[in-house]
Amino acid sequence: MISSQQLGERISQERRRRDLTQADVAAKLGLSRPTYIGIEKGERRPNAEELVKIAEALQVSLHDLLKEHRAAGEVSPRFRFGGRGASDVELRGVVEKLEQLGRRYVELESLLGIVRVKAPLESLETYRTTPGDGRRSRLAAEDAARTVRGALGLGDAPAPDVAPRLETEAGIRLFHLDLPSPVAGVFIWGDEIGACVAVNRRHPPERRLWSLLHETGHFLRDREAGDVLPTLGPERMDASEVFADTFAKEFLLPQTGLARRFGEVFRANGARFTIADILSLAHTYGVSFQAMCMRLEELDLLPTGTYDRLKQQKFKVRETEAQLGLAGHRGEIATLPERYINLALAAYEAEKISEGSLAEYLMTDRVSARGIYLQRRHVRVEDHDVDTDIGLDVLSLAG
Amino acid sequence: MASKVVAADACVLLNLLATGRAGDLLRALDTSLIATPLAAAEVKYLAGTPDEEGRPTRQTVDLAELTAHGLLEVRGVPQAALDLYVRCAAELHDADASGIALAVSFGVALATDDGLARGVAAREAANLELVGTLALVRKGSEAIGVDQEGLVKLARNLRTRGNFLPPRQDPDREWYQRLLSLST
Repeated sequence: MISSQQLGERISQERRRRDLTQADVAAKLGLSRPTYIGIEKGERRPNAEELVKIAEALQVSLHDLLKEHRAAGEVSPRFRFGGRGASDVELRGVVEKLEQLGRRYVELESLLGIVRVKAPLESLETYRTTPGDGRRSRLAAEDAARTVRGALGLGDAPAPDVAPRLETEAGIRLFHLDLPSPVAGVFIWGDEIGACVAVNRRHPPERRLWSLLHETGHFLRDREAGDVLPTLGPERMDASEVFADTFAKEFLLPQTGLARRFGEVFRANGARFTIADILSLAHTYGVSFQAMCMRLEELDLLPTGTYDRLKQQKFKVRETEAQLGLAGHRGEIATLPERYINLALAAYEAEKISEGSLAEYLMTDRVSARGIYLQRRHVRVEDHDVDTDIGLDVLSLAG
Repeated sequence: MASKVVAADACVLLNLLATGRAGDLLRALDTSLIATPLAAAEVKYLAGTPDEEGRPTRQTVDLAELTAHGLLEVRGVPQAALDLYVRCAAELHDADASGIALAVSFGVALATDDGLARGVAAREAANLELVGTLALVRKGSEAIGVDQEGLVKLARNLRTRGNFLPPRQDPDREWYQRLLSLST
């Protein structure tokens, strides 16, 4: 059983999340304010009836207030709202959702006895709050991109499938959420939950990848500040945004590797480089046609203004991609990280959580949650149902 | 008026609806159910027929027919059982915890297939009788006299509409799996 102090802290945390005063909640409970304050301070443990009323007043479940493995999950207080293209209410909702998912991730790890250890790139302090102007930030970000690529063993090769590596090597918990359309990505950080990134699942894969790398830039430089990345790009290119933006660009489109590939194509084509070649390179690197054009222009490999001219001519990117067979799979994208889902299923299988909690962790209804469990944990062989415990520690089978 | 009352949690309510014969089974067992509002609120969807691309779909369900026929009554956790409810909620989702408190307060059996809920119930209320979906379906279908084909259909509905996988220790698990194997 959690202590009265822990319970009081959780009640206080939930109240503050909902912008309620102690007087508001005390009135809803029919308690005096000092009595309620005593509950939040852990000096007085609420009885069962009071606890049920508190949960109702705060619109939180009893289980959330009482469970042993609840993560605190407070994110950095430096997080700023406003001026990001979406309303404060929308942004607050997104951040709260991401916070909740981060907390649940930690809870699942805790339930299964997994202690979160710092991922290798989490310890990288070199680029924390790089001082100075835009130029210094840009140079630092380019260096950071090379360092991170080196740490991931990527050299200067294309890295369109880098997302899972960032999850394991940087400890970034990546979620694909339905964000408000003006928002491309959100990054939050907390000591307990680590780095959590949400990218807009409505965006195309190349945009989601760019958003992830942009937020990874913030993770390396100023993780405590948090970030909301507007779909139309940062409104103010301060040193922090210059770093994040340059990091994404240099990581996804490394100067040396890209120039070499450009040269290979150029040579093979008999000193020509076509629109189809730009599309093909963009596809290889997992970036948009626009990002590839701009980068090639920046590296002086394409004439300045190439993209703008094509745009004026109403060049149809998607149609041409489809014609060239370059259109990637744009089907359903999973909201939750694969590892998170597997942790939830393992916790359910080990009877650490009930079916209702499984559905909550998987953000779905009970029968759909069972469907996910069946699909991943149960193998039908010929005419027999066979349980396959995919979470079994195979190392324990030795000897 | 049924002679026996059983408290059902959300998973059993969903399973009974998935069979497509919840009313028949309960009437044959001369049993009516009670469930908490939290458990009833969890009964929203069963699995539907997969779409053209094989993706899962959901079918909306509710408990209106069972309540209309007096086979289900939705009741809140009584005041006297709030302590037990709160103790159980430390480990279980509120809807699952409330089912245990309801069963104990009314002195009736609890129908649940949830492994954790069964463990918590056994610890918090040692004398509480526990039953599973398969026991209800098996005894109910025997009482009705459902033939082999009908049994296979019940099992298949449980699997396809309820995505039901019985707990490993369920004594009727073999029976269910044998029926499923006959359906292929």
